[in-house]
This record gives sequence, C-alpha cells and structure tokens, in this order.
Amino acid sequence: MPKMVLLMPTLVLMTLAAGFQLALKEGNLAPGNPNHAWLIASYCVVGVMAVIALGVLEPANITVLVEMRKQRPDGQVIASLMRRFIYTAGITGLMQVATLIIMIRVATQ
Amino acid sequence: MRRLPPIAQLTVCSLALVVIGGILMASYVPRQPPLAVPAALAAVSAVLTLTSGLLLSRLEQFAWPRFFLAFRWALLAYVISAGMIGFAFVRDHTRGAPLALVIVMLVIFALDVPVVIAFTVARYSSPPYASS
Repeated sequence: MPKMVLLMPTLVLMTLAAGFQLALKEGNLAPGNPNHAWLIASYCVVGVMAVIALGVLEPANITVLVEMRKQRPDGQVIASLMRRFIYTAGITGLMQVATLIIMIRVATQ
Repeated sequence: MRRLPPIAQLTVCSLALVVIGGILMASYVPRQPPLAVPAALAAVSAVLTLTSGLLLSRLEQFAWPRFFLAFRWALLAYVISAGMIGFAFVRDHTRGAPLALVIVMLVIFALDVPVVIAFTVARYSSPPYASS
C-alpha cells in the first residue's frame, strides 16, 4: 500500500511541477508566446487524465490489490472494478493522442 | 448489491471542479489571475466535499478500520503532492488572495483523493462483500 499510494502520485506530481517550471523558465507561458495556447491545452489534457486516474482508476487499482490479498478473493468484485479500465481506455487513449499532437506542435513552433 | 450514498461520485465531481479551477489559475501564471470563477468553483467543490463527508459519517456497517488504513496513507501521499503544487505556485510569485485560493483548492484536493480511494477500498470490505 505505501509504495503504490505514496510513491507513484509523488513522482507524477514532481514530473508535472518540473515541466511547469521548465515551461515558465523557457518563457513558453508568456501570453505572447506561440506555445502558450498549446500549453493551456496540455493543462486541460492533464486535468482530464488526472481526474480519471485519481478519481476512477487509482481507487479501483488499490481495491483490487486489497481484494487479491484476502484469503478468498472475490472474482466478481475484481471483474467489476477492472471494467472501469475498459470504460476509461477510450478517453485515456484520446488524451494520449492529444498529448502527442501538443508535444509535436510545441517542439516544432 | 448494497446501495451506498453517492460519496465517490460527489467527491470525484468536487475533484474535477478544483482541477478546473487550478487550470484556470495556472493558465494566468506569471500574471495575476481573475479570481471570480476559480473562487466559485472552489466554493461548489467545498460544498460537495462537505456533503460527501457528511454522508460518509452516517454510514453504518462499514469497514472503518480498512477505510482509515487506506485514508491515512493516501492522505500522506496527497498532502505531499499538494505541498509540491503549492510550492510551485509560491515559487512563481503567487501572493495574497490568489495564493489563499490555491491553498483552499489544494486542501480540497488533498482530502478528495484519499476519501475516494479509502471509500472504494472499504466498500468492498463491508457487507455484503464481507461479514464485518
């Protein structure tokens, strides 16, 4: 539990905060910068992915881990929780394509 | 399946609102952001968090030990995360009312995620999934 709950979100947040600071330092967040609008779009992508990851997938993941550590894990509980991954896969995939497009735009402006 | 109040849904909505508010605030860095919309989002988000907390406190036959086990680890993780986000805003010279609003949003964020994680973990350890 501590490794899963503590380490991963901290690493994710450190990466995001580092990227934000780098963009600021490079001047990409200045209103006149051509990358500004793309970076705002990237915030939106990160926001959608964060809500899905933190509000839907992480609770399911941890619950499945807890269930699997029980003496007699309930297969139906695991199956119903894993269904969340199928439902959200489309949105997550779309956001990853959007991330790629934004990265290419920012790199080639 | 046992029907429980929509605690996870309310908390995720609250989380989504603070994320939107945070994006609005961050999109103005390094300028001073207008505060009306983010403040309204934070207020609605706080109401949703309080409502889910109230509904949670009224639950009976719930795996509270499991809830608090997950809650305390997740709280530690998200207090660290919220602290880092707050540090980034302070480092970017956010001061006064905008900083206060960011802190309110971060407090909501640091409470919402542990609640939704712990609630999801505990609901599948409560009756009818478990005898205790």
